[in-house]
Amino acid sequence: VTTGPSVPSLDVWLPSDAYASALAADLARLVCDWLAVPAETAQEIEIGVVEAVNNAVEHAHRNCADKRVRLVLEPTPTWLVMRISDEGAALPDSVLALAPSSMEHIGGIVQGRTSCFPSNDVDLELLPQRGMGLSLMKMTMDEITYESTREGNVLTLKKHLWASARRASLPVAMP
Amino acid sequence: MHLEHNTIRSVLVTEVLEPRVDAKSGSELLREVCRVIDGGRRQIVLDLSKVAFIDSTGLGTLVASLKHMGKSGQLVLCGVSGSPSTLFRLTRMDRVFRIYPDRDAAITAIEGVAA
Repeated sequence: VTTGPSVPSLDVWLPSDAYASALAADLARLVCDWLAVPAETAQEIEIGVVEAVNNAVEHAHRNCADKRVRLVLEPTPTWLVMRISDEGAALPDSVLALAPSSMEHIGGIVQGRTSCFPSNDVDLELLPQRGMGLSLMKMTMDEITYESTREGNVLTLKKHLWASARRASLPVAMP
Repeated sequence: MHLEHNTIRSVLVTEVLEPRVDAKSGSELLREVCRVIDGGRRQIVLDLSKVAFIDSTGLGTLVASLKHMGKSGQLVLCGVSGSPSTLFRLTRMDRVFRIYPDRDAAITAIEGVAA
């Protein structure tokens, strides 16, 4: 841990196993607590970084526990920059770009939902069970970049720390 | 996966006593939920009040549990707050699952439908 004038940076290597994302979540929460970011922002950061680490462990390293995932958390007064590096297979071209940036399509599966049972208005078989990770990263982060080199892959997530607080304090427009 | 089962009248309340539902714990949860459904349970409340975090894989196992129940019964959730609540909202799964503030509200809702 290196400490700057006001905020700490973390640079850690995580074992590429089932516990990596929990460790990453703990570290992200630590930084968010330190910075006293709004709860909703902290939750989105945790969700995004966990999905990124899961992606490295499960897809890049294919659950090979001999590999490691590097997690760098760099807070600035405005942003939290998270770099997740792996030494495995690169994401196929365009996978990140093509991942939906919202899950509004669930609205098409849930049609005219009422408060009554049974839930005949939900086509259960169409509900996704996998493949939500990249979309969740897009929904929780402000910027995502992915770089693949011979040395490995780096996924960079950037989150504005105070945008939700600013949104919450905006005056309500009256008709 | 630590779970606590309580039967209240015809409703099975299963409380998840783990802070995280992810790939590992989620698959164990799914296995257990499928076991009780296959054993004939048709009214299940999954109490997530002790769960502080669910990732996309864990969410997938909850969806799989719902599919396993199908439309022959009711699988509802309660005690969803904090980060799990944000996850359900972001993925729109808050429109798929029946989510109640606590187990009493969930049981009342299930029994109201069955009555």
